[in-house]
Parts: sequence; C-alpha cells; structure tokens
Amino acid sequence: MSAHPQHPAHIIRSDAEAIEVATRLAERFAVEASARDRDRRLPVAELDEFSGSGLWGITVPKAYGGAGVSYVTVAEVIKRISAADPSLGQIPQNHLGVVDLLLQTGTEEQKRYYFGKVLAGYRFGNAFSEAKSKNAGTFDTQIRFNGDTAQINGEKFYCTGALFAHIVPTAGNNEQGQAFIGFVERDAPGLSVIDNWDGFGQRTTASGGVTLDGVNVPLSAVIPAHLAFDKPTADGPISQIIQAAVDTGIALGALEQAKIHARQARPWIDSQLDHGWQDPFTIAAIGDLQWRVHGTEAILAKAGIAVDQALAEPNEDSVAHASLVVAQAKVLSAETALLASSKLFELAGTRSVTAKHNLDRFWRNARTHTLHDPARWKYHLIGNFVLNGVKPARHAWN
Amino acid sequence: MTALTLARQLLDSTRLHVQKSDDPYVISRFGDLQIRVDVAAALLERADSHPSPVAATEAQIAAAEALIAASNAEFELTGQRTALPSTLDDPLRRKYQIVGNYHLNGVL
Repeated sequence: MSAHPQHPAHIIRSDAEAIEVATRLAERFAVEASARDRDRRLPVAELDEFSGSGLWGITVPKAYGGAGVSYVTVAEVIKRISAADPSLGQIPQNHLGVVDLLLQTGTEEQKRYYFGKVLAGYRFGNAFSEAKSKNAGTFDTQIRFNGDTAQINGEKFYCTGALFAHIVPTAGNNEQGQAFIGFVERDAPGLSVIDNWDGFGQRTTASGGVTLDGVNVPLSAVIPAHLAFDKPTADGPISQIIQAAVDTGIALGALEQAKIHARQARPWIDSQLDHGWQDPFTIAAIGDLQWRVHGTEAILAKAGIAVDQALAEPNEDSVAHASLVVAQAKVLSAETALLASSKLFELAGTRSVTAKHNLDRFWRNARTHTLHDPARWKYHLIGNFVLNGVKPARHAWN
Repeated sequence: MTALTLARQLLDSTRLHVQKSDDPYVISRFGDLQIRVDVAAALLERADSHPSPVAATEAQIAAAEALIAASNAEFELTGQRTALPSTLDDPLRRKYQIVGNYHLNGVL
C-alpha cells in the first residue's frame, strides 16, 4: 500500500449529497459482499472507490473546505454501507474518529494540513488498541520526545484499516502516561502492518497487528490526543456512534434477508397452510424484528443530534448527554443485529443454512463487531445516570 | 393515560423508591428501562410524520413492552405493583401480526 492515493477524491458538498453517494455505493458494494467474506478477499478496489467518493471527508468542517455534515448523516452513511458490507462500514471508523481528534487537539497548522489530506482522499488507519495491555484504555506503546522529533515503539492489535491506510495514526503514552497520537506514513521505516486478522466475522477489515520499531515522526505530526478526554469533547460519542451505525446496518441487512428467505420457506406441516409466508408465527416474528430495527434507527438518529449538540457546545452536560444517547444506540443496535441475524435462520428454515447463501455472515459479523465494547456496561452507564446522577466516564468507548 | 406515560411514571416512582444504589444489577435495570421508554418515545415521534401505515402500531408495541418491563421492575425493586389498565380489547399479540404482515407480505 502506498502512502498516497492514486487519484484525488471528489469533494462532497452537502448532507444530501453524502446520503445519495452512500446509497449508490452501498448498492455496488452489496453485489460481491458475500464473495468477499467467503474468500476473505480484501476490499482494496472497493476502498479506493469509497474514499475516492468523498465520503471519508464529509466530517471535515466547512471552514477547512469540507461539508461538515451532521452526525445524523454520518450515522446514516455508515449504516447504509454496513447494510451492504459491514467490513467496509467499519474500516473508516477510526479515520472519522481521528478527523475529530485533529479538530479537538490539533494545532491550526495541523488541521489545515491533515484536513487537506483527507479531502484529497488520504485514508487514516489506526494503531491504537493493544491485545496485551491491562485493559482497552491502556497502552504499553511508548512515545518519547527528543528535540523536534518523537519516537514510537510498541506492538498493536485490532488495527482496523491500517493495512489499507495512507497514514497510520498511532497512539503511545509519554513518561507521564498521557496518550499522544503520531501520524505515521504508511511506508515509514520501522512501521510494519501485519495481515493476520483471522476472526470469524468482519473478515475483510484487516484488523490485525502493527509493530512500531523505532518509528520517528516530526513533532508537527503529533497531537496531544489525551486532551480530547481531559476536557469534555464529542470525541467519545463520535467514536461510538459509528460503531452503533455499523451494527444498525448489519441488523438492516439481516432483516432484509430474513424477509426474502422467510417468504420462500415451505409451510410447516401443522399449519395446514399453502405457503410459508402465511405462517402466523413467522409473521409475528417479522413484526417483532421490524419494530426493533425501526426503533434502533430512530435512536441512532437521536444520537446523531446529540453528538451535533456536543460538538457545537462542548461541556460536561452536552457531552454526557451525547454519551448517554449513543449508549442507547449501542445497546439497541447490538441486540437487534444479533437477534435479526439469528432469527433469519429460524424463519427461513434449514435450506437457508446451505453454504451457497452464506447467510451466516450476518451473525458472524454482528457477533464479532458487537464485541468492540460490551453492551452490558452500557445498561450500567445509562442506569448510573438515571438512578445515581453519575455522568459517563469520558473515553473512546463512551 | 397512554402506556408510555404510565411506563414513565412507573420508572420514576421506582427510581424515587430506590433512591440510590451501588448494586450493578439494580443500576443496569434502570438503564434497561430508560432505553425501553426512550425507544418507544422515538417511535411515537417517528409515527407522527412517517408515511408507513403501521408506524403507529410499532410505537404501540414498544410502549406496551416498556410498560410490562417497568411494571416488573417496580414489583421486583419495590415489592408493590401498580395495577395496569386492561388491554383485552386491544391485545398486544395482534400488533406484531399487523406489523409483520405489512412488512413481510405487504398486506394491511
């Protein structure tokens, strides 16, 4: 992978254009989504088309030449792409998170430089998470400052998108345990991206390892990412709403297939009916799935509004509110995606599990992606505010 | 009184009864109820402007389920149960059929 895009990206100018482009791309991405999953064929050409469409630049603020779209729109875009192929929907997640981290913690010069790159079609990957650190929020990777450069050393995992990126934002802690992010060029000496993601779901996200062996970046390529959480900003909710949008997309895709295949199912012997689609229990089960999917979409849109408010007026209350509504979207999207992708088989019958349909990809993708952070702690987060008045902790998972 | 209004009232009275808690199971129970109430409210709002002929029925299901969950939580956490209005003339079980038949078969 080169450190530069082959062609400059289109620049999207409005929310409506973003939705229109996403709808068109989703239709194209849906055609070979099953084959990509089955063969674990990495979506290299599809990503060029995706970022080249301008959709990876829609959150760049208007002041920097972007469309600065609403997060209702961002969620809708990711949802539509993910309904077609949730691996493609997940890959820009960290890119979009980094765009906001730049906005929150970058210098004016850094914003101009990197937002310009994003609008030109550069893709950010990520080397944030670590499989061996104490918990998801801690880094063993070190960043050490020396004059006008910084050096990064460490080992990362779950690095979604790094393999396909032009620039790999990499998180490391300084001596005081504060997190900084260095923007590492994809071909920088010492950076190795390892294609070793073999999870049973989200198979083509390339969410594998990255090693950093004495990687040097200039100070101009480092941002004090910890500031995005030291003070109240929308960054945590932004990171999370994209996760929720991916799972909402999986739920939509699974329900769509459930309807198609349930209508083709044979009638059960005891029903005395002529067609599977007349089955009263199937009909009611679809009714149950349908309201849950619509409810999830409605809360996802509300989460987008809450994120917009937190971005416009960041303070303890607006950021807490955004975290709370986004947490609702997380819970609902995770549960609905898992339910729809499992019920699909129950309603469609044994013929739906044959390999040619590859319908298990919906459940495999839902189960894998919803492990990003556990929904059980989102019930707690919301309840702790409702009952005890405790605001959510600020980090990239809230 | 609508099912959603009553669900909200039960959530609120149960919260006032419990006051505060550091029990993770009690805390998360309130998270669950709040989500159910808010998703019902969001679907009700959606039904106001959405052209789907079953959008209002979907909101009614969400509200009815929120009310049942709130009533169960009230009983579990306070030891009392507020009587719920009868739904014999408008049973919840039919609503899933109405929504499902429209979305699966295009039949109203």
